[in-house]
Amino acid sequence: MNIDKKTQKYDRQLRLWQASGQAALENSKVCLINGTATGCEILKDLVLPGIGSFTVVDKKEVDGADAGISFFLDEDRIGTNRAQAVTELLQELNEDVRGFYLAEDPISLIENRLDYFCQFTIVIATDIPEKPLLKLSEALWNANIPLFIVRTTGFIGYFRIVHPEHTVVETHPDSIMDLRLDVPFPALEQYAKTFDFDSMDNMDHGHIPYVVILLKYLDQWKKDHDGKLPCTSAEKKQFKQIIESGRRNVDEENFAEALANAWRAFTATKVPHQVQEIFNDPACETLTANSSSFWILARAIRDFVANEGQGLLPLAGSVPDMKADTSTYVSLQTIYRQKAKAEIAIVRSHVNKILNSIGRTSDFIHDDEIDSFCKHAAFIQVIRYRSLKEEYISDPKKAEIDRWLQDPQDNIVHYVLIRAIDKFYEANNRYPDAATFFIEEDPEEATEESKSEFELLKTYVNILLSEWQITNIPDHLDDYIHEICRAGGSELPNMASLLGGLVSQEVIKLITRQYIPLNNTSIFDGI
Amino acid sequence: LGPNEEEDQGFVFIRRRNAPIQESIIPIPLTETPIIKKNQVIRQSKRRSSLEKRGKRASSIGNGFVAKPHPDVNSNEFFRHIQAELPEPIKLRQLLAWCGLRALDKQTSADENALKIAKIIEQEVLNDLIDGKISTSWYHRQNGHESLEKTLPRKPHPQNIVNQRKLKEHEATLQRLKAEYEEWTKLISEINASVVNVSPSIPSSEDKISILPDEIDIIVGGLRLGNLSILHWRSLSYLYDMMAATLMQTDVPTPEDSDSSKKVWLGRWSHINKILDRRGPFCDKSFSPGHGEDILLNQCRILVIGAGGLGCEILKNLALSGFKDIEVIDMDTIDVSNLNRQFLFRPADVGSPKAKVAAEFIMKRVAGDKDDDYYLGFHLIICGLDSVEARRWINATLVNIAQDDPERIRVLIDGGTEGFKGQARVIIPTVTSCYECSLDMLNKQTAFPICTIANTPRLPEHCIEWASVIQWPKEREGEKMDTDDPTHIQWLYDIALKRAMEFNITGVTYSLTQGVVKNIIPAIASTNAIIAAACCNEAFKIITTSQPYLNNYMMYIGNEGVYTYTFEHQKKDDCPVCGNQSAFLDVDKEITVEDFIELLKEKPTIQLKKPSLTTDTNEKIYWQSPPFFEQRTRPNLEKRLSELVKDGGTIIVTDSTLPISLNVTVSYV
Repeated sequence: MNIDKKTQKYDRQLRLWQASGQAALENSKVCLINGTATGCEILKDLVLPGIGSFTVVDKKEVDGADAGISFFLDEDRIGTNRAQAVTELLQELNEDVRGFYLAEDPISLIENRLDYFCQFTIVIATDIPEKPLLKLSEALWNANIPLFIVRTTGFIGYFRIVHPEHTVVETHPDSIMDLRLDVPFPALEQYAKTFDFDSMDNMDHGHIPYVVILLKYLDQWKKDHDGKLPCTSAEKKQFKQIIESGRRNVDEENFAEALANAWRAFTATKVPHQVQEIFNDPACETLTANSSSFWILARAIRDFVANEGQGLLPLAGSVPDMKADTSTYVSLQTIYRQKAKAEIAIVRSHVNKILNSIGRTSDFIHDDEIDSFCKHAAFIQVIRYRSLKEEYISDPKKAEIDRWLQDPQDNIVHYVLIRAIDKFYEANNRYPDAATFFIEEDPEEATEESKSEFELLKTYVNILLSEWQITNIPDHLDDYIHEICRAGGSELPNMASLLGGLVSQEVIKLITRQYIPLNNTSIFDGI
Repeated sequence: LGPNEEEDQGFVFIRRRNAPIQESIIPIPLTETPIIKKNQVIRQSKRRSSLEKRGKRASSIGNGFVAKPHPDVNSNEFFRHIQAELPEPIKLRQLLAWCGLRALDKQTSADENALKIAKIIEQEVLNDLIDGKISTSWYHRQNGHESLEKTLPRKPHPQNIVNQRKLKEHEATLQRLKAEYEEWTKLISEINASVVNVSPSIPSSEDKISILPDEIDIIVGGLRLGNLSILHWRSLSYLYDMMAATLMQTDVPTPEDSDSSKKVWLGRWSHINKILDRRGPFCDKSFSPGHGEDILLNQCRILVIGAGGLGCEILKNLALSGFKDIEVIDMDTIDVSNLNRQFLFRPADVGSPKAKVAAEFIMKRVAGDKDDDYYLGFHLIICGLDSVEARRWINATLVNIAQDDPERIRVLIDGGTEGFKGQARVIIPTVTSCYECSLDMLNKQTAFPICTIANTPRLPEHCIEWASVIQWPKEREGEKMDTDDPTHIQWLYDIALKRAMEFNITGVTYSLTQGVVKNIIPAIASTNAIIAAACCNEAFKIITTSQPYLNNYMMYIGNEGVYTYTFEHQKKDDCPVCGNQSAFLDVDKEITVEDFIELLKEKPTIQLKKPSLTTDTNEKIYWQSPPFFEQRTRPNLEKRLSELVKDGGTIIVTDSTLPISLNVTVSYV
C-alpha cells in the first residue's frame, strides 16, 4: 500500500492544506497561556489536526467552576494544577502530539523570564490583563512570533492577532484563470490558427475548445476593428452574436461555454492592484541578506514583469476543464504549461541574480517554491498587523471607533466594553459581576450594590471614551454595559468552543502559510 | 466579502446584520417550552423569595457546613433547612451534625465532671462528622449491608422498559424487512431472468441489496452514539465517561445509581448560572431569572441527529451547557446518499433501479419507523449531518408534523460544514423558511457526462470515474465495490492511472481516486467546532430564553479572514415542503413526460430523486412505485405532457424518497 497511516488519519484535512501544510503543522510549537475553557478548545482544534507540540502555562488550581465548563477537566482534578490537568486530557486526543505544561504564574513569567515565550512558533494568551499583555506582545513582536489574544465573556467572543508581517503565496483562490485571450502568446495564437471551423464535421466542430473559439472570433474582430477588443456594451453584444451565429446547433456545449466565458475575452490581462502594491513596497525595493524568500521572489517577479513579461505576470499555466476531445484538450494544456515553464525558467534566473547580489546561494530558494509563486503570482498577499502598543497607546483609531460607535448595529461596542473591563480589572482586580438589569415582572429589583456596579463599569467606559476624545456617547452603550455586568466574566461552553474554532483556524493559516488570515481583530456577538 | 473594506482601518468585525436589540419578528411559537410552563406555575404560586438565594450563597462558605438553625426551630423541622439539591450523604451529615449539636446543648447531669467528659467526647464525634472523618455516605456501606441491599426490590428504569419494547419492535421490523428482502431478491432474479438484454455495465442488483441486513442490524441497535468519528474525535472513552450520566444509553442505570453518579460539584454551573440567574437587556420578557439550571438539567429533552464530526462537538457542548436529557440517533445508516454514493456520477438511466428502490425502502421503513410522537417527545432537534438527503427527510417530517397545529411545532437547528465554510440555522417549521426553501443555495454536485468518461477524458477525475463506473463492473463482475477497502481503491487507482497515461493526462493520485469514488468532502476540526457551537448556542438561548435567537440563517466563511453573514432566509410560498402555493413552470409544449421528470430532477429549487406525477383530477401520469402502477403508467413516459395535462393545469408531484408533495402548474410555450 502506498499510503501511510498518517495520510489516512489526516485525509480530510490534507485535502485542504496538503502535505506541505501538514508538515508545517507538525513542526510547530504552540504555547497556551492559562488553561481556560476557551484556551483548551483552541488547543483541541489544534491537537486533533496534529500540531507538533503544545505547552500550557498556568499556575491556577482547578476549582469547581473550571471543571464545570471545560471538557478537558473533571471533578477528580479539582484542587490540582490546571496546566497539568488539561495537558493530560488534551494529550489523549492525539498520540502524535506532544503535550507539555509549566505550572508557573504566567504574569510573573512575563515579568521575569520573558524570553521563555520566544521558543514557540505561536503564543496564545487567554485571560491576561492589559499591562503584562503589552509587555508580552512587544517581546514576541521583536522575536517575530505571532501572538493571539483571546477572550470570551458571556455571549461575546474577541480575538486579535499581533504580528509584524505575514506573507502568503498559497492563498487558495476559487480558481486560477489565466487564459490570456486578449493577449495570446505566439504558440497559442499559432495553435488557434490550425482550426478551420468551416471544414470540420459536426463531431469535431462540437469539440473545439471554447478558448480556441474565442481566440478565433476575437482575432477576426480585431482585424475588423483596428486591433481593438470589443469594449462598449453594444460591441460586446455584437461579438456574442457573431459567436452565436457560428454555432451549428443548440446542442453544441462548447459554443455555450464560449458565450458564457466571452467576458474573459474583453477583460484586459494586467497586474492586479494588490500585487502592484507589493511590488512598490520598500521590502521589495530594498533587498538585504535578511530578506525572506517571499520578498526575493516578489522582486524577481517584478523584474520579470518589467522585462521579459512585457508588463504581465508569469503565466499561471493551468487550463480549466472544457468541452473538447482528449487530444485537443491535452495539446492546449501542453501549450499553456510549456509557456509557463519557460517563464518560470526566466524567473529562476532573476532569482539567482538577486540571491547572488545579496550574498546568498541559489539553493536558498527551491524550484518548487518558484513554481508555486509563479502560479499564484496574481493572488499573493502581505498582511501587516498593527502592534498592540499602537492600538492601545500611541495610535488608537479614535475617529473610526467614534464613527462606528454611532451605528447601533456595529460590533465596535463590544470592543469598547472589552477594553473597558480591562481597565476595570486593572483597578479592582476583578471583573464586573452583578445583576444590574431588572424589569417589573422580576421577583427581585435593583439594589444599591447592583446600581453601583453598573455605574462603576460605566465610569471606565467613559474614561476610555474620553481618552479617545469621543464625546458623542450613544445610548445603546448602556444595554451592553448591563450585559457585561450580567456575564460577570463567565465563559460559556458554547462561546468557548466557537472561539476555539475561530482561533485555531487562524493559527493553522499562520502556521501553514496557506489561505488568508484575519487582519486583525474579530468579535463574535453570540447574543 | 472576506476581510472586508474595514480591513484598511485595521479592524475586521464579524457583522451580524440582525442587531441584537432588534426584537424577533416571529413570536416564539414554542407554546409548551419548559420555561413557559414553569412560568405559568410560578405565576400561580407566590413569588420566589430572595431569601432562599441568600441562604444558598451563605451555605457555600467553608466546608459546606451551615450554622445550626435558630433554637426555636424544632429538630423535626431541620430537614427543611437543608438544601434539597445537595447530595444525600451531605444532607445526612448536616442533619446528624445539627441533631448532635442540639443534643449537646440539652445534656444535663448532676455530675458536672461526667458531663464535661461526655461533652468533650460528643464534641469530638461531632467535629469528626463535620470534617467528614465519619462517613455519612450509604453508597459505600460495608459488606454487612449487602445482603440487605439485594433483598430490596428494584424498580426497572422506565427507559429500559421502553428500550426493551423498542427492541422487540425493531426485531419484528427486522424480521419483516428480511422477509421483504427475500421477496425483493426473488422478484429481481425473476426480472433479471425475464429481461434478456441486461447491459453488462449494470451491476448485479442482488449485490446492492445485500447491504441491507447489515445496515439494519446497526439501526436496530437503535439509539446509539454512533461511529463517534474516529477521524475527528480520538478520545472516545473520555467522551463516554463525560456523558455517561447525561446521555441516554441502551442500558440506563436505575434511578438510585444515576442519582449517586450525577456529578454535581460545588460551582459546577457557576459560569452558566451567572447568565441564567440574571436578566439582561436583550432577554425575552418570558425569561425568568434563576430557573434555567432546573430547565436544562431536568426538563428539557433534546434530540441530536448525526454523531459524526459535528455531532460529537454538539454532544460535548450540550453536556457542558447543562443539558441532561439528550438522545442521539445516527442517520448515517439510513442515509440514502450513503447508499447512493455507489451510483454517484452515473447517468440516471444506468444502474440498477431495484437497488435504488431498496434504498428508498430502508428510508421509508426505518426513518418512517419513528412516528410523529417520537419527534414530539423532544423540545428541540439539532442536526449535525453530512447528508442533504437525511436533512431533507427530517425537515419534511417536522414540517408535516407541525402542519395545522402550532402546538406540534418543534424547532430544528441545522448545522453543516464543508472545509472552511459552514452554516447554522434555526428552522421553526411552518413559521420560518425550511431546509427545502433554501435548496437552491446548495452547490450542485459535479456530475461528469458518461460520454466524456467513456470517450473524451480530459481530467484525472474522468479517468477515475472510468475505472469505477465502467471498468469495475466489467472486470470484477459480481463483486461489490467497497470504497473503504484500500485494495479496492488501489485497483481503481491502478486502472485510472493506466488510462490517464494512455491519454497523456496527469494528476491521478491515490488520494484523488479515494476522494472521487468516496465523494469525500474536506473537513477540519475548527469548522466543526464553530458550527456546532453556533448551533448549541442557539439551542441554549431558545430553551432558556436568556437571549434572542438567530433569525434565521448564519453563513460562515473562513478561508479568507473570518466572515459571517446573518440574514433572514425567506420562506417560499411554493416550497414543496412548507409552501401552500403551486410552483409555476414554463415548459416546451413538445416536452415528453420523461423529459419533464428529468427537468424536475435537475431544477435547483426542486431536486427530486424519483418523482411520481398525478393530475389534479387524480389521473396517474407516471408512478415510480409500486411496480404494478409503474408498469401501467410507463407507456406515458414517451407521450407529450400536453396530451395528459392541459395548459395551465396542475400536476401533483410526489417522491418516494421524501415525504413531500408539490403542486406544479405548467404553461406550455
